[in-house]
Amino acid sequence: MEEVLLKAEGLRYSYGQEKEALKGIDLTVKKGEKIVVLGSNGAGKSTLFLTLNGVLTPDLGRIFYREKEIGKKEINELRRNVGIVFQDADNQIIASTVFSEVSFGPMNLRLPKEEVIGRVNSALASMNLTEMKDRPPHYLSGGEKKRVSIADIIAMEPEVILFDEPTASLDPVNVKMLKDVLDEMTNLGKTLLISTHDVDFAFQWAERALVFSGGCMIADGPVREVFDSPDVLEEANLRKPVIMDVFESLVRHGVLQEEVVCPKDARELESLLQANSCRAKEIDR
Amino acid sequence: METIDSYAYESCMRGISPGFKAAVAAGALLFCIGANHLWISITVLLTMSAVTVWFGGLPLIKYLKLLKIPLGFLILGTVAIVIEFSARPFGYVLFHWLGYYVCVSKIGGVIALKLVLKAIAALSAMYMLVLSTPASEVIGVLKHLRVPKLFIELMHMIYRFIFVMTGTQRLMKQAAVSRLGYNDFRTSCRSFGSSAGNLFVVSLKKASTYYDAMVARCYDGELLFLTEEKKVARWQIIAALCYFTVLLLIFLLVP
Repeated sequence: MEEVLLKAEGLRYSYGQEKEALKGIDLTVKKGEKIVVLGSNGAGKSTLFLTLNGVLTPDLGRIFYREKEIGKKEINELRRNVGIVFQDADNQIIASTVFSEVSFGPMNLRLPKEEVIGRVNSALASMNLTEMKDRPPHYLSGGEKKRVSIADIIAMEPEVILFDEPTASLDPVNVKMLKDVLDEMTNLGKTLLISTHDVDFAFQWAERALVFSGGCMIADGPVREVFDSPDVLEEANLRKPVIMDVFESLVRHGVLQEEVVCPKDARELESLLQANSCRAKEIDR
Repeated sequence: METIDSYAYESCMRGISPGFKAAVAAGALLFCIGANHLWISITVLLTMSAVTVWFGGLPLIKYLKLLKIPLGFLILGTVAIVIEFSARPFGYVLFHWLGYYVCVSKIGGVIALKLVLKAIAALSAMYMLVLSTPASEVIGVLKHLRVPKLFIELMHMIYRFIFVMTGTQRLMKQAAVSRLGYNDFRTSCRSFGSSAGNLFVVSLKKASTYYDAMVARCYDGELLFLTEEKKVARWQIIAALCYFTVLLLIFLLVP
């Protein structure tokens, strides 16, 4: 059986009196899952992340980490095991050199100095930042800052990492780098939750999708199923991934059979079509 | 953007221990002021500038430009010492008006020259430090000197926020300029005022998101960073000792 890491029951949170940002969210996250969180702006994604990490205390509802309920005393344990990479790296970076910035988290965990140095160096190495460890963050480019903000969290070695819109404001090269990093982290056994507006990225990367709309979770399931239900897409103001549209057109015009599973990206589609044409040639012969 | 801060990051002397650089700079500064000796001032000025330009690799033009601003203040300040008003003419009379003479005395001139040189020499010693040591490392030195934690943390935050705020301000100004917000004096005043007000709101918001981000990383009231320590090499200590011996010899032997 898969291990349940994080569990939330009936989470409610409101900013001030009127606006309720989360209206009763139930969620179970298992170890090693790749989850994408979709929804339009203001749907409650960021609020959910802040609540799951313990920055915001829910008005109602309970959070469990490894079957242990999180109260006031355990909140640091939650923060230690669940890390957030914030959307805007500039809102996360506080120190004046890259090295001391990445050391901030491990230092807060009150680890011995040697351990901190080791963790910081390996986090920097995994993000390709070793050369710029003495640079101040304000002389880095946007992509480099993003990498610093990810290294910040890696150095704390959490089990679950929440990424708040990581692909926003990154160029294609950096998005590619980010995907590699995500794959590497999955290989290391980390559990990842990513909020994004990029449906193509979501479809390609994730196994499971959560869809938010107006503070409620309106869908939770395998990514293909979620994108296959028009009602959910319409309610959350989402569109279908391009590859799914293309795939459906190909099926409709008889190029591909309906039984085949929709490919995740252009490369998979290409190999699918290749296999298809090979088969067609064999039949001709 | 070219600032003293960016020069410090590009300096070739960054690898040297900040504590050592601070000690040499402070030593030279105190020697210079304490000795109050013309030749000491000249030696300190020349050596410290040479260290900054040669070892630090800062182009001479940029260094002189940096010296220009404080020099301007110094000259304006010493004018009062050099120029004297009197009812009788003495020294070099510049002009006289309504029975008063405006004169420049030789003694006043010498005092002013000494003063300017001393101040500039002290400044060059401090420039040696700040043009080779980023602010974060200077703060680290202060931390070793047991400056209260509160001030250290404030310095770290202020330093980081200077850049965050100037960045935000630059973007807002660009947005205003692109909408003709700085067209003439009146619109400039209005745009400046509203962008300053907006900056305040933005900084409050930023402070709260920063706080969230810090709390998310287990911040619990104490800003903890790890800084890498740089070792002082033996030749550096010997060089510094030789330097101060030479200064002492000049002080004792040169009248």
